[in-house]
Amino acid sequence: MSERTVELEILRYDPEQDEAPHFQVYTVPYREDWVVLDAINYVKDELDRTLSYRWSCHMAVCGSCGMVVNGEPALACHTFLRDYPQRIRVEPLQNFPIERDLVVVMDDFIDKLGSVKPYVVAREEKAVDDGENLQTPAELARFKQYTACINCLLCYSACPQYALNDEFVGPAALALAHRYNLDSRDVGRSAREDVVASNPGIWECSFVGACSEVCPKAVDPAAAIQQTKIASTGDYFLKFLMPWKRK
Amino acid sequence: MLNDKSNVFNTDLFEALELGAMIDVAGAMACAALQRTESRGSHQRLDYPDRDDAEFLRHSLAHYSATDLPAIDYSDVTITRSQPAERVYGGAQE
Amino acid sequence: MSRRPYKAEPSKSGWWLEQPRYIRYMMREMSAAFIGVYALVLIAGLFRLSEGEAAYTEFLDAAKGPAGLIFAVIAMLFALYHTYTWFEVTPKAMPLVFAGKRLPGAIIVAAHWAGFVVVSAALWLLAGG
Repeated sequence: MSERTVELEILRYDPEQDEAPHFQVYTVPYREDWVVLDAINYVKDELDRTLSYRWSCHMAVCGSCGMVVNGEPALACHTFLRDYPQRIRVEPLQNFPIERDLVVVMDDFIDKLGSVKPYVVAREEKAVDDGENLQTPAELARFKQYTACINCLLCYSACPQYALNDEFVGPAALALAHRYNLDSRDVGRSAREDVVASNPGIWECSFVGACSEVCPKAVDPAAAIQQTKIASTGDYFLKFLMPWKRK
Repeated sequence: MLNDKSNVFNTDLFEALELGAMIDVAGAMACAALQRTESRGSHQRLDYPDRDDAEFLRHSLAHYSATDLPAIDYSDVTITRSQPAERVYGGAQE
Repeated sequence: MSRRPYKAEPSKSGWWLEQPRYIRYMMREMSAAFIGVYALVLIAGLFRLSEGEAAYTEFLDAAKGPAGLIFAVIAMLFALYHTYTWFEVTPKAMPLVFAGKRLPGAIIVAAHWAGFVVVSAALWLLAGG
């Protein structure tokens, strides 16, 4: 009785050699405690040194190993072989250009992340000697969930709106904007609204909710976007009714 | 000897480059540790189990050499607030 | 540089058929079409009512006929599905904090269903049910 094995069907693409991506099948040993990343590392170490992919922490905190496993966006280090059939298809994240094998071009996301002003916009500049900003546990609890994003891009891979229109700012960037909008130390909601409360911003979202379903850190970007829609609608009407009031 | 010859996101290449760097760092650590004939914090030696402040209350410095093992040198420690003392826990603290 | 990132083809119009999650989403969105058509049917009924008893009776007979009933049942199922999905996501859009703790989503959803039952019962009674 030979040892139990798993077949990994991995997408390969070398722009210097291939016209288009194609699949390659590797047979790896099955281990009860292995995740897909372990199997991929086995392929690279023992079978095919030319396989390229991103990974780092192997514990679902760095966000590097985002891939599509049997059709579902997942972290390769967070998907156990024992939960999958004998044949596992591994592809790079959807909706991003493929650089090489399982590596995608993330530049679009990086730009969008920067565009939402992901930092505390303070009411007035304080010197270090003026002391710390104070925040109660309740104020922290308001936005803490949205700080958990590890930028793994599974949400962008799952989002059908981003698939149809890559102008969409996207779940993770909008969740991060919401994190700062909810932060008691921040007054930047109006500074962010050109990007956030715009057509390619929150209004491109139709609340499919796939992003929140695939998020490995339970950030719930869909909730962030809907709450931003409500806040932004309020801002819009307040502009006419109470023009002197500004966050 | 690289199997991956690609110029695009060649992880075989950067793993080889990182391996070279890791070997340099490991060599520096091993040489400095061998010369440090005492135990201090997480540097524990069965052949020298006690701390030796007279000889080794100093920073180890490793100087890179392309051909030989790194040369180990020492620099003084600047002590400001916490004075060196015997590390004891529990009842022994009384 | 020999980079040549590969861009996949744009989504096909049947993109939503490829995953159960997307199919459920499209069902939710499609419910609007059925609810909209049902609203038009009701408006047509009002017009027929304004045209007198004969016209209105004709309208009611058509509505009670097989096509009318089948459509009404389908529309109702879609409307209920819409209600169910709407209530499920309400806690996400409006998180409530009560006495320092986040109110569990299940309570918000249950409260919505309770309100739904009350309003439905009231309308049923008003309609002479």
